[in-house]
Amino acid sequence: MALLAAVAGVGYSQQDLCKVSALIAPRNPVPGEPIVYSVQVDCPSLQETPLVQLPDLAPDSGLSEFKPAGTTTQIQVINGQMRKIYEFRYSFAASKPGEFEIPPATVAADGQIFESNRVRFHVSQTPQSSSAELPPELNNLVAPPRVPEAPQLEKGLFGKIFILPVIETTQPLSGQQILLSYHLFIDPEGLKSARLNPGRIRGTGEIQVPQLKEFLKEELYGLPQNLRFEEQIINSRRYAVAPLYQVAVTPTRTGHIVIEPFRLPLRFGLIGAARRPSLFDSPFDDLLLFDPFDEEGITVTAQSIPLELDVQALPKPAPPDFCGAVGTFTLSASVDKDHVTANEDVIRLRLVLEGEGNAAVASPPSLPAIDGIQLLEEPKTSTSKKVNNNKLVTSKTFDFYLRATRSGKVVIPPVSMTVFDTKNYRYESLKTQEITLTVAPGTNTSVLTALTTATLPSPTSPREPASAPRKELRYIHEGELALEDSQVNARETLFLALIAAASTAIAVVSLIVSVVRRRRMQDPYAYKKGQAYRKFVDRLNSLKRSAGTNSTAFCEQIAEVLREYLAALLRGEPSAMTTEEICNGLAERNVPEEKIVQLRQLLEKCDSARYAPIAYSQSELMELLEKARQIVEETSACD
Amino acid sequence: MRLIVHLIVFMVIVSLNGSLVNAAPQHTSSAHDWEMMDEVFQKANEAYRQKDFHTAERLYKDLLTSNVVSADLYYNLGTTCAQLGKTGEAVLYLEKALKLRPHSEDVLANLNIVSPPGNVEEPFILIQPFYYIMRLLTFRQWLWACVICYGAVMILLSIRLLNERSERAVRVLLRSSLVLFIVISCFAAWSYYHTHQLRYVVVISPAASVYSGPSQTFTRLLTPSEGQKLRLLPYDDPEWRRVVLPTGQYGFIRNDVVREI
Repeated sequence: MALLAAVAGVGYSQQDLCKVSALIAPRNPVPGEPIVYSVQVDCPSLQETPLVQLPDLAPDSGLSEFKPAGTTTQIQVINGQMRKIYEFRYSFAASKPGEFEIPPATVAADGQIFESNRVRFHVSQTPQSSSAELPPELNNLVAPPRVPEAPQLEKGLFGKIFILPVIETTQPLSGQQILLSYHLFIDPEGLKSARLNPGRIRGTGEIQVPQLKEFLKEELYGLPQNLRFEEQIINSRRYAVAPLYQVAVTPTRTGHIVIEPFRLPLRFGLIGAARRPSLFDSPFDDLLLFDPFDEEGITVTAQSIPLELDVQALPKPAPPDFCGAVGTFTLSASVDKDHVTANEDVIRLRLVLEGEGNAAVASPPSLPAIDGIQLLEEPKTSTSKKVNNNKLVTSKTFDFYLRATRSGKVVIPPVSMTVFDTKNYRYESLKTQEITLTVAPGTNTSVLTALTTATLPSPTSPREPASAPRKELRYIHEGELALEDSQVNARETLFLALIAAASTAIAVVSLIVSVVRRRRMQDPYAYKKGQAYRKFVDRLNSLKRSAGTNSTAFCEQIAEVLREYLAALLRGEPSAMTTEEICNGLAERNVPEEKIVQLRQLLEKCDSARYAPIAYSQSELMELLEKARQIVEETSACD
Repeated sequence: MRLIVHLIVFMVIVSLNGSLVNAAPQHTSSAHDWEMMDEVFQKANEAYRQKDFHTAERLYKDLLTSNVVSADLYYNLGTTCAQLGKTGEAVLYLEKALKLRPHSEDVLANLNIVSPPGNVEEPFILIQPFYYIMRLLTFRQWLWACVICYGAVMILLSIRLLNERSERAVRVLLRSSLVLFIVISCFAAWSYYHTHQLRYVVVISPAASVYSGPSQTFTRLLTPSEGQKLRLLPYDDPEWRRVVLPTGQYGFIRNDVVREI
């Protein structure tokens, strides 16, 4: 392939200060392959970012339109002088082979116009690959890759990147477990010849893994995060091979089954393409197009061929005790203890079916009736798997729980399971070895709860008296039956609530009393006055009932109550205050003069009744009482 | 003040009355019934003495069906089951007895003998003294102590309110009883959580399994030994119980192989 593309020349400014050049990569592309067209502007002192005017390409020229592919800026400082080098990149593709020329690009910088060189290049034919180039071992096993961005490349990449399915057999038996694995094969040299860089590869898009709906599947090796390649030479051709996926499958039906292709999209970098933009590049030069995670490259979807399987039915008739396992298996038996006590110890008999095949589907064997052994419960099963020498080894464990019912030597006879052996292509009966138990006499009964009733010991089940009671146990309590209750009943709750409420009530009452007392302490006069008023009213009411019995005593009492009240009002001693003093005191407290006169008259009337007994009538006495009440009420408002 | 004294006297009388009421059998409809139950209990004890453990077990269980709740009954039944080799039931009834009498030495001793390893709770070493104190009393006793302490606080507060020039001793007593009330309340709350919120089951079958889901088709996580105590979690299924394994995992066990304590 001749190298025809060349940089025809370099455009210089009139002052020979700015250098504008154009070039393409790769220099010998093939049709459909992305080509990068770069315009470099190298000026010592540019103030503004240059503007590039791309040349027009004729629609029938065989070249596609330019698409921006990023801008980079380099700053160099040489001898104290700074230079900025701009690189504007555009991508395009050629649709046909032949000679092509890109006219000069125009660059405007700092008010000056520069032109780049013309770029001439040759697009060669897509290299034709055929299955004949494939190693014979891979014939009919390789599917061509898909390259949606450049379909012309698909033929060229045939046999250089593919997924190889590996299956144990394409004619498995129904129920037979087989291994299916997928490996990615890459021919690095072949990719390089197609301008793909095998060193710059990353996953992209959605991986299509076969669904395997007509199989029971057990994934052994999931899709890896990173591909780990190893070199493999097939018929003197070097391949980088990476495992992708491995699964153990068991067909669920007989007949023809097709497994769909495995598809893996991969993004390859292009050889000779401009480097990936660095994070240190100025993103402000090309804000819209800057994408530090973008890779200049092409997406190639590697795929496998569809697999066709012809699933065979198992030979008929199957033995009645066939457990369903197909493969090559071994059966072993063990007990967790061989020295036990009768009617006490629980023995675990473990049967393990292990081998290459679908042991997980095996149904539990039926345990023969054993003299002196009681089966307590249905066996418990568990399965496990491991990959040994690239083979899936599965095992199924059956745990039987037994209990010896008599002392002496008890023999567990061989237990058998029938499987289909894929090596010999026939049903085979596997047998365990015989196990002998040494059973010591126990303290418990001989009759035990068996299988169905084992989980719920019945209180009425007949038991023999224990021959040797456990003496280490403390003796029972023989006193009177003392009943108790850990729960708090309703009656008790009520009682507790009552105690809490009563104590709270006491506290609340105390609080009220305390508050009242505090208020009284804060204003003792007002309290005293209020108390005297209430007392006076009470006493007047009591006087009302005794009116008419003895007018002298009645008047005396009115005078006494009135004096006491007024003394309290005037903060004096009732016995020490004369009528004159009371009247003066009231006058000082702005009691109206006429009220004071009425009070004086009332007191004098009462005094005269005391010292010069006059018999008042009932109505007169009530009138005196009413006057006294009025005086009290009117004076109670004054300060 | 006189009123408070009267109220205190009233409360003491009522308390004594309540204590007496609570000391009397509550589950029996009459004294006659209780006498009959005591007679059965003594017969069961006699059967145990004669080493007729089956008869003793039957009689004790007859009492249980009559809704008799007694620490002695649970202890005797648990011990009898232990004699019969029924480890699961022995642990179940001894745990029930322990719930009623958290510090019964006999119960603890027999439980230590029959329990499989891992059943005994060992709280964090710094919590152990507090745990020991909490287990000194039942929740019911803690509740009583709490209410009585509350009453004491209220009464001392009343005295303090009514007598502002109260003695220093009253003030100290009030503060002390307040602190005591708070501490007792905490223990009562802890005891409530321990006895009413934490629920346990005991495996009563020698061949039980704990699965990862409520079906035997799930992975088997554990084969618990008979008598193993497992913490119970809420789960609404009559056939399966959700339990916490000693490893901290959750699992499911068939309802008919366990009994709740």
